[in-house]
Amino acid sequence: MSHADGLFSAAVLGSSALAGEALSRGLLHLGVQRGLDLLRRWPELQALMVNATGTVYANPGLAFSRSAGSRLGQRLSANALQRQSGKSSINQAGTKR
Amino acid sequence: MQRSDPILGSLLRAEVWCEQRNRGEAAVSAVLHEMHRIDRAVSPYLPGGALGTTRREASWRPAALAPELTQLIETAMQWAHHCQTAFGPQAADRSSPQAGLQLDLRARARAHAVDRSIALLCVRSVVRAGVVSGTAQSVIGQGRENNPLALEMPACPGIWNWSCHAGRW
Repeated sequence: MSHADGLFSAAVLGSSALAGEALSRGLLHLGVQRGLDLLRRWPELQALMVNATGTVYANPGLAFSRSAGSRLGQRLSANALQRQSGKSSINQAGTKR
Repeated sequence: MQRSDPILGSLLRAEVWCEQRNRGEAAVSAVLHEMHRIDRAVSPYLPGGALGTTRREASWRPAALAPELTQLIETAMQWAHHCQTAFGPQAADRSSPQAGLQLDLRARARAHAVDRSIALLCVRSVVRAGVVSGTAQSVIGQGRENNPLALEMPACPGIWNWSCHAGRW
């Protein structure tokens, strides 16, 4: 199944599994920028999106170390695609680092 | 204590860490009991289920929905609106601008069941537990050092709750 912007994974953290389940599925549909725009409505929710090259996008609410994000992105990419992962980076609020 | 059961079209796994075995087993049993209750309520296939009964009867007479099911449908529709996605197969009109994705109620119900299970465990003063149902997962407990996610949740300290789609953690 292909998702917007080549995303293959979206994870949402918050106090409600119901909100997280619905929003994580929605993020795959909306893509990175529209997803990050949507997330601004709920600053208490924290989200990660990972694309096919292993780039990790996160909203500003997520306390997430860059090195951990890089490792996570590489691992996710390797797991999901079973091929060499690209360079990973944390992306906060849509600004690529 | 750990138990798994096929519920809501997926595999539920509940894990509870307790010093008292009886207390842990009772907590896990309560979680499974709640999951099965929600399964009966939202499954369109189980005989006697609230949603199944409504679907059968609503075609020829007004049918009342239980408050919990009504709330679940309303919440699912609100999130579908926020995410510009469709809700339910009946809304999957390809000519509709909201036809990008079908949201099924059982996915919402699995997440709702996780929320309910965590609430039950909190009432029982369980401080270390994990509940997984489909892509909805919730954990009660303390983080470990070198956790690669290193997450901080000031809004709900001690409880981490996440949902992941189409990826593997």
